[in-house]
Amino acid sequence: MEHLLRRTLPHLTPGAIARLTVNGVGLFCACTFVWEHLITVQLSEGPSMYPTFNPRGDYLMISRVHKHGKGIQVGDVVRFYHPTFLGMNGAKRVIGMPGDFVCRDLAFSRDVGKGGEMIQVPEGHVYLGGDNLPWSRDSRNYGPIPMGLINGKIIARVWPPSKMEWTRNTMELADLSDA
Amino acid sequence: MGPLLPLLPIGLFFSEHVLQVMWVRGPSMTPYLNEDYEQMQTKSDIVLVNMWGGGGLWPWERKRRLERGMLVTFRSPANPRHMAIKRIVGLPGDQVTTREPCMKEMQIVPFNHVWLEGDAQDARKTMDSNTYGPVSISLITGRVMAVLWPRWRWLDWSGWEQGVVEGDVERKFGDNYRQEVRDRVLKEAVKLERPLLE
Repeated sequence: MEHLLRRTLPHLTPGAIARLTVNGVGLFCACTFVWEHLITVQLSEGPSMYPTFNPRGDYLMISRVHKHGKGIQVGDVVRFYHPTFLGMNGAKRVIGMPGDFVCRDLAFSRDVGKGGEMIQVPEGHVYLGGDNLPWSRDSRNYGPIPMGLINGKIIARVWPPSKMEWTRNTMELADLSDA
Repeated sequence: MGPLLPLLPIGLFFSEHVLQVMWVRGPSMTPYLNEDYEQMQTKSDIVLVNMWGGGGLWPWERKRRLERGMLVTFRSPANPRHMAIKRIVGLPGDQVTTREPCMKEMQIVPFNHVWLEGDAQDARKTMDSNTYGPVSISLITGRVMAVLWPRWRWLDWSGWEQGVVEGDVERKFGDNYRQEVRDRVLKEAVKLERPLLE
């Protein structure tokens, strides 16, 4: 211990400490930048996207490049700041893009396209829906949400390893050709 | 280059979470910002925006203390590529009598939302909550602290209720600045409860 101290202390000049601090803060800020602008890994929460994601225990990889709805298509699963709860995130599937007509079903109903009204998604908004219809609070409750609330697109499940996979866009056009 | 490299992420972090300089475009905040937009359409004010969350210890904590009269920046609900600057007119629970392009006559501001309006007298010159409705607080990114150029001044919203903006002694904007806006707001018209979660 004493030996270690005697070796390191002479190098701890104010200049070295300052440089170490700047490097440390710089590294922290760089990590924050990657976390906020490129990629985030987060534990899944809540039953609304079951069976695509488990209510808990799945680690999801989120591409932050898609925040504010950049490059989002119908069928993508997005993460967004909850419109009514500050500091909370939600994850839902995009059902309608700006200008699309969607059937706004009754909240928590199992039926699709029954007993609702037809609405057009306004400019700059998306219509979201959970995969687990009776257990999902989504645009059926709070209406289309502004794309500015979207903070990422869920691209993969990275943990547990047995269930590692890319998130599939379940609403892509079917390819019916034989080739 | 080596020793200066950490300054790049530090600078980015600073501008995203601490302070940011922004240019104000358009006539929506005239005469408060872009004072002489009518004559000088190309000139834009430069403002300093406080990006720190507010109440929280960490900059990414999304806590915020909002008051009527504050100028905030937010991502426009109508166009996610556009950052907008508007004034908070109504807080959650307030009842706002809307103006021109709005389809509803009255609107109660819901939980975690605010009513934002531009200062422009002419409702057609500002695109605000009267077009896209109450704005979620989650969309708000920062609070405008000061105008850097062309006329340096700190912004102070504490006198908003009395019609005094930024404590101007010479009453540049008149005695009751934007009184008709405050007259349209019925404060705490309903008592909102935090909605149930799950």
